Amino acid sequence: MGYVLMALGLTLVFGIGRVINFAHGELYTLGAFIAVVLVQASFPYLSTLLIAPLLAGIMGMLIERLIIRKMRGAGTSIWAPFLATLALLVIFQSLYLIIFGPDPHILQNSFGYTSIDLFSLTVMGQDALIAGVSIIVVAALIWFMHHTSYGAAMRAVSQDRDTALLMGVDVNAIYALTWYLGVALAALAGVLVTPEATVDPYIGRIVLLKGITIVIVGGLGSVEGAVLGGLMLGLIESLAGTYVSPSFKDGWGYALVILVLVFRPRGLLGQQLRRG
Amino acid sequence: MTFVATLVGLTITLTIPLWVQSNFYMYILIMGAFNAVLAISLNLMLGYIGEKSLGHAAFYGIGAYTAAMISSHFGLSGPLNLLAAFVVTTACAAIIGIPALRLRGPYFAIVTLGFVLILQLLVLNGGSFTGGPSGLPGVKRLAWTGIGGPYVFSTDIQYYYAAIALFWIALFVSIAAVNSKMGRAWLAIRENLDLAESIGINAFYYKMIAFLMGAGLAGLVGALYAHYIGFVSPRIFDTWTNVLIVAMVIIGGEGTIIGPVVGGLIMTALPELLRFAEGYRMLLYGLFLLAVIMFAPQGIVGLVADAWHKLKARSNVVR
Repeated sequence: MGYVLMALGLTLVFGIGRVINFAHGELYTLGAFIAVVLVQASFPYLSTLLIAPLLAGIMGMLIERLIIRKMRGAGTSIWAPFLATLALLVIFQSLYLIIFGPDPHILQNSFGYTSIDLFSLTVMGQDALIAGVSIIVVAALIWFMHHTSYGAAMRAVSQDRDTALLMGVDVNAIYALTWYLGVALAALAGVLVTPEATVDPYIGRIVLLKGITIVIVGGLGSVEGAVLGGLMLGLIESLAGTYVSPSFKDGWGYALVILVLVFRPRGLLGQQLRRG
Repeated sequence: MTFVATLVGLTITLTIPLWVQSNFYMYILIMGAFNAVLAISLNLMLGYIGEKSLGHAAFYGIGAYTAAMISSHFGLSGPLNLLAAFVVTTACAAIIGIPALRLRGPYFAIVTLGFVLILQLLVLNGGSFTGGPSGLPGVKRLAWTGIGGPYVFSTDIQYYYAAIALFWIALFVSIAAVNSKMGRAWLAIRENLDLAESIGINAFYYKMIAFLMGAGLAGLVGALYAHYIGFVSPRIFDTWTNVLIVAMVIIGGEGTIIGPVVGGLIMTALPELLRFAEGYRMLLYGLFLLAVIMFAPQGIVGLVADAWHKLKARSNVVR
């Protein structure tokens, strides 16, 4: 389920903002580091689940407002937002390195290490927490996209930006909202998954790769697709990792990506993108 | 104009070893030439076809590994290594190109990126065949054992001339290609693929040629690099290599002949110039990238061309 959360923010920003955010993994890391700092300042872990995404979301809005929006005008290369997020990746990573150093940090969560009995299955607390929060967030997001006026506006911008603008949608505000949500989701994933691992300035890379894999498999820009893709990747990795070859574990995801792209380029649940 | 520029360029590149003595600078210059060729080769796809190819490190890496594996498994290190690197890289490009080139935009970008990731995993898990995570050390120096030989490429100056030869070949090949009927087809595909196809341009065919040309050149760079450094490691397939090659093209100016050259040289020199900043080096590097993208979206060559036109316009007014 952790994979699903990693991919959600990426798919939102791509689906609506039409930008593959290569700094996504770094924003996941941002969430994790905010949580580490807060826990050291003796905030309870569970409160960081809320605070870190809210703070990181502001960073997302700033990125949209100060950088990406400037590149939406005519005359700029289609490459500009893409490269800008790559530059942000480098900038964030070096900032983390300067502030936190290269060593892994641990995010303490006492609740996460207790085991829970659930229908005759023993589950680690953190796994249960990840699954629970993910289900709630996914449900809330789908509800938001389909049952609120902001959600409708977001879907409208995603389908046809110019028409949405003509219909009176404040497109800039929607982009800002999209980036806020996308980055907050990335940070939430960081806060949730880090107690099961550690956080260092370089973890963003693998998060980005998993995220991209899932988003491609599920369909670029599709929330439901990200859920399906995340679950599939998790299953395939653990099954193939156990029964076929553990060292090639990460390869199955890419193999899946190539299969999907060759036979169904829009992804399993993706909408047909307009040509051109 | 172009002729004069070529002559000046040739003179400078050919006489550099006469006035640059330091090994360190020679190393930078050789890497600069390698990077320029990588950028030139990617620019065919990026600048002229207009498709985001994120897998260029794959071809560079395949070339390097082919040359290194022939050297360490068969003990050969001659023109055959370069030829094999070229052939294997182009063949791999054809295999990945057949499904990938039918895709567009982000999908093409992702497939090419995925290709690099799979290659890296294969190399990491290749055991003694590929050297695994530690790579293949002790790649032999390039040597000619045929008529007039044996002649071993052992000094920096020799590798410098090899790199420069490849640089000029790549530059002339790309100029010739862009100015041919094929180059015009590329531009038509970039500007409007549907329209280009509707007037009978076989987009897949022309894209494939650009893709294969780029891959072949990158493979040759990889092979030369392996013989020069004497060592290959799976890090050659790192995402960072990819990003760097793309950045070189964009920073210099995509879709121009000279842009990738400028970009390649800047991106080679910049990390060395920023050495004074120590821990803040990568930060400055990222900020520089961001600044160029934001304030010179057409690349440095575009910026200079703009300034030049403005200057010309102003002087016309005065007259």
